[in-house]
Amino acid sequence: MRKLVISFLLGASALVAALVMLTTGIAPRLSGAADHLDAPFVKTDGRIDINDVYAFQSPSNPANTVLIMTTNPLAGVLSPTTYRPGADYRLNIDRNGDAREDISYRLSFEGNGPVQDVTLRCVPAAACGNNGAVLARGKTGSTIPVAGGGSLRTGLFDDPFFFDLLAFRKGLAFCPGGVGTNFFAGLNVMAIVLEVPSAKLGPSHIGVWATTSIDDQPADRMGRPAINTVFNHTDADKNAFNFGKPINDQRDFRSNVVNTLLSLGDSQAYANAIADVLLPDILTVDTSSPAGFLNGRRLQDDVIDTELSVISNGAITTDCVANDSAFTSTFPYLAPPN
Amino acid sequence: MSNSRLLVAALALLAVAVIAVSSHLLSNGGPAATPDNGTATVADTGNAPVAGMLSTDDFIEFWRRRVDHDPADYISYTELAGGFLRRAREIGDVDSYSRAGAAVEQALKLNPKYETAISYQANVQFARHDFAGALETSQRIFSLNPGSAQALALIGDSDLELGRYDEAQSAYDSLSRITQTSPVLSRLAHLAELKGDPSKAIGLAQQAVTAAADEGTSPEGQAWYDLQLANLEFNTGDLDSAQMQYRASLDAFPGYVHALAGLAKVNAARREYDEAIALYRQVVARYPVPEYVAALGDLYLVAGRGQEAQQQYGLIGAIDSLYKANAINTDLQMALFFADHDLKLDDAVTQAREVYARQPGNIRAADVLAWALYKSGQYGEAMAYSEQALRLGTRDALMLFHAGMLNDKIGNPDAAREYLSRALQINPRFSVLYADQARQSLDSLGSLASR
Repeated sequence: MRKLVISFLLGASALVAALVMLTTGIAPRLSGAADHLDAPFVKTDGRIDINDVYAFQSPSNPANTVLIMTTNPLAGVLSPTTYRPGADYRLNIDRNGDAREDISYRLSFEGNGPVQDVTLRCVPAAACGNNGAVLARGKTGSTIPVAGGGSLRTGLFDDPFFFDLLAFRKGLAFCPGGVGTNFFAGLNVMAIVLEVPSAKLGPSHIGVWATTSIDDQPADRMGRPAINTVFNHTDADKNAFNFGKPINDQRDFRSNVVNTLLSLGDSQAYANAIADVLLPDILTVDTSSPAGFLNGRRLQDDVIDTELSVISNGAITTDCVANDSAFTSTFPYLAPPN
Repeated sequence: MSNSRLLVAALALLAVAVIAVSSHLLSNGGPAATPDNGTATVADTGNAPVAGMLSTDDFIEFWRRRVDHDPADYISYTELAGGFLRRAREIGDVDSYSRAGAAVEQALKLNPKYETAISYQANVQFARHDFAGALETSQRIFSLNPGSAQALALIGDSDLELGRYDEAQSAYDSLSRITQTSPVLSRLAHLAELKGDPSKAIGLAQQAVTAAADEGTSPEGQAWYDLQLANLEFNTGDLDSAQMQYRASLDAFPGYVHALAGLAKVNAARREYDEAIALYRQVVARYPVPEYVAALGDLYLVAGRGQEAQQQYGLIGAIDSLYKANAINTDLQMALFFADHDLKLDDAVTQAREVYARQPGNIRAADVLAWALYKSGQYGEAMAYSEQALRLGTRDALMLFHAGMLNDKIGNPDAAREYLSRALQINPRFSVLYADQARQSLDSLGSLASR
């Protein structure tokens, strides 16, 4: 599957889903000024909401791979600019294409202040070959060396994602008057940036996906951009997807992918072929190659334009939005927060 | 204080309220409202002490800038509406509801299918007590998006207000199968209270308080969960626990009016009238809903300051007009106020009937209607609504007191004794106006033990 690096992804990143989830998570039970029996205006905890996953060969050291998980849509606007203490943030690595994680980089955070304690581990110890040792420990907002090589940085950054969300939500009405609007310009996210020697990850061809969970209860999951957002149309399905495992994706969500593509006018054969590629939802990357999307995903890659082309079978080639962020060629690569 | 002066004041207030944000503008009639003794104003506390979070005012400004920049940005209009709804919760100003409604309307004009905007529209309907409309809107969302927790919560909330308690339970049960977060726990707690299981309600409310902290809830949100727990504790007569929890609520969101009112209730229940009056004065200076203004008046009354009590009572009608001008319905509070004070009893009955017609089967509407009918001497009909009000077995001292007085009047001494003693047993200090009266009536009926 991962040789078929034609990542046919349309639409938006999980950020789109996250924004919608955030704002529709649970009804504010708010009533007239006259009443105060009503439960607060509470939303999904954005701190455990995954926005995007990136995986690319390090521009500063070709022997390294950079893995990035962004969380917390509109960080600081909709949710605090922190990680949820006690929650489990994971970057999962499939080494052999069986859609099961062989190793996971597991991050946990403590403290409720603006600067939190962060701990990085690799599990399971046997596969990681490190006897379960802590790989890094330090503070959010600082670069921390990783045992065995590499660096970790967690904290607030400019949101690297760019996309015309308004046009998407108006029924794929892209490029009104030839112009797009990057809804995410000037917004921030929380990011986990982990750079490690590619050899630690396994062979050169790996699969990557991110998960968050609380007390072993899954909260969110993402590999390639936008799979859940685009192909699952109800909160029931979106939740089932987030709580599920990649190994079951073909069984559980194939029909949603195929039906969505058919509804967009694609042929049955085309829809089937794409569904074969898109599920399970794992971002595949050849770490020996500096190429970007469709190989892994680099920060500057216009994944949306690629996805739109594929989904629409060439009818839509762009959302008329380009990257607005000043990425750097050195760790941690992301632009500073706005 | 002449009525005409009050009327002038009311009309002036009415005019400014449409454009004004702050409820500080509502003076208390005579002298200006007491300054806040250094307590932070609610607006100040909007600067939330949560890492990196925008204050409510900054949040509104953030989205306002975005819609100014791109007037076609329906998502930002929707979030702007959310900001106004948040501010309405925090300071209870009538204007924020109107602004929220306008922002939602604009969003839906730009994209009628944007689900979040539709759900905020349901929230605005709910805030304006258009519960049937809120139910319809949220059911529409749910039919388009099965599994939407948002929609389920609103369906349950609307059902509950409409007196459809079984349907509300069913919606909340479905909701709790999706998620067990604080908003869900608090809803289950509320329903448990209505169904007469205060210890279950308190347990759930305690869980909600803990969960809210884990979930990174906003200061106002956290304060609300503390408040719910405190109110449940107060309603069982546990004044010490309630006081502690009201203080926790104030700590979470300094200046929180509902927690201040709760502390005032505790003081009042302990007959610490001066303290209670001082607190309520702070409350009504910021959040002059009829319920709180009436409570302040009642405290003046029991403290022997009749003239000041009348001043407060005189303001209530004007305040009610203000809310009505912003399409916020306070009929039930007004009916209860009229009935409690033997004022305009015909209006009280009419208003309570109107509320009951809109929310048929709602136990609080039934209770107020029964009480207004009792006060106007329509005992037979009052009994029917009283039975409606008590049908869930709610352990609500005031409702039981109402039932006790009514049964006494129509010559059911056994039932009257039963209801009055249960009211006092649940919370011996349930009301500054009525706890003593309940005791006296019970005495004159003869104690249960002497039966």
